[in-house]
Amino acid sequence: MRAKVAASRLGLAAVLLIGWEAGARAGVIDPFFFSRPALIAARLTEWFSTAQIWRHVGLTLLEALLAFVIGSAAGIVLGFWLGRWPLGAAVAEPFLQTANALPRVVLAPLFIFWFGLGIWSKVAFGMTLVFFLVFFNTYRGVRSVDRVLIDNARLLGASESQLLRHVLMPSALGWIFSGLEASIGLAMVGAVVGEYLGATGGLGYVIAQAEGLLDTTGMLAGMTLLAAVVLAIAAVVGRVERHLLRWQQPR
Amino acid sequence: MYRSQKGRYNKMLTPAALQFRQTGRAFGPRLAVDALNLTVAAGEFVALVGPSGCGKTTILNLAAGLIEPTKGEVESFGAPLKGLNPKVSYLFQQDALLPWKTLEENIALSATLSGRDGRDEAREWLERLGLEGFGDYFPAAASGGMKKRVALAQQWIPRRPLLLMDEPFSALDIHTRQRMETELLQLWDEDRRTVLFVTHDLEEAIALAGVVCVLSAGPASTIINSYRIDLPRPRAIADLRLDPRFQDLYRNIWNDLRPEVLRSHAG
Repeated sequence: MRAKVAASRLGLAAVLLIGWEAGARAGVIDPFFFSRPALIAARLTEWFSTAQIWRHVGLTLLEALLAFVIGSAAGIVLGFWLGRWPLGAAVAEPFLQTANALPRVVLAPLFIFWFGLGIWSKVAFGMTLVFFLVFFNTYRGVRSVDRVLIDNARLLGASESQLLRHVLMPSALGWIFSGLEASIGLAMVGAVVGEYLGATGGLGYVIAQAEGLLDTTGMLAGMTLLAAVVLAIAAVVGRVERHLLRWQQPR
Repeated sequence: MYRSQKGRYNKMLTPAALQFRQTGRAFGPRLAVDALNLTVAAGEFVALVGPSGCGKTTILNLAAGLIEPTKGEVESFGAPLKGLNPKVSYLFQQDALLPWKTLEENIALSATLSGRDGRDEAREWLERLGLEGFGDYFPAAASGGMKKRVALAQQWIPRRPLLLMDEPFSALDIHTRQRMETELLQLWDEDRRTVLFVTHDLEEAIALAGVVCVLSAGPASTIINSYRIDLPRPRAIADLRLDPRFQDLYRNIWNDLRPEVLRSHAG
């Protein structure tokens, strides 16, 4: 079964790539608009041979990482806090809803205006994306803890901080992690969109430069690299998640 | 409620483990329990039977201090209840094990919460309950019977003088259930702590308890009668149902219970 799936996936990828390449060479697909896999691969090889590209990858990763860490820390803290404090949650709700309803992309120019072309405008932008997702997941996680688990722990003598540690945190962890992969994606979106709109480096900057030159190959090579980076991070997160949530799987 | 010599004697010496006086509890406009008078003497095993939806869980929640009465009062060991009752353990009907802790960690929970290392004790309990080798299982991987055993140990260990049990075995198959009932009685025989056991199963109530109280159908349910169960202990649960004394008791109590069950189905 697993071998079959792997083989089919490889087969599908090969069909798509070879079809694309052949179509472009045969003139069915216009390489000016769509490029072709061989060109993209060549461009990636060229980038990595000069090592220039690492600066851009590193910059984007740093921005995304900072946005992710700060955004999720803020989201988790506020999520727990409001999750355990119904009055505060009721007061804050319309504000949070309004802020969340705003399509965040429009904030990017404002952040560049405020924080300049350096990394902090991208971090701030990514943060606003990550924060809400993590906050809502944490809040839901804290609120959805089975009442019986809380009552049972309290009757067994748990203090509020023990309740947090033994009951609420582990319960919310599942919800937080269910949003973690998405929030890493969002942190990358924040970094790349910020770079795209105004920066001096980063993968978004690379893609924007290629766009300015109508260089489809450069754009697609940048996107390929971006996707690879996000997938690599997701794999690491998946591992951490499986370890921390091992209680969810029956053996 | 019941009027045996022993009960009266106990009552004079030590305050009742639980005393409901004209207690009522409403949820919004719906009156779950009304004018409830119930005394659970210290050291007694009391079973409450009644049709489903008659407010049995409400009574236990009142006793645990998880909810407050809207009428009357509840006393526990001579003191009126305010907030959580520190003298109770509570075995809930639903699964209350922490799913992210292993069976061993769940057994040791009360020790962990009071800052002690309960691992050795937990291992002894695992052995005693026939669960050696399952200590590092998470509840998701354990069977219903295993989880109930662990939950019982978790509640038994803190040595609270009053144990509340809410239909703890109702989700188990009949054989597992009888084994659990036997294990419960063995445990209970060691220190005879006070138990208030809620069930809709009259056979189970008679088999386990020293006193059976019959609740009327809800809403506004109250206790309509109580019976002393003078079957000798230790009791052999599996054979008890064939005992003519058991059958007499069953017939008597069922006469009280039947109209309530019918009423609850009609409503």
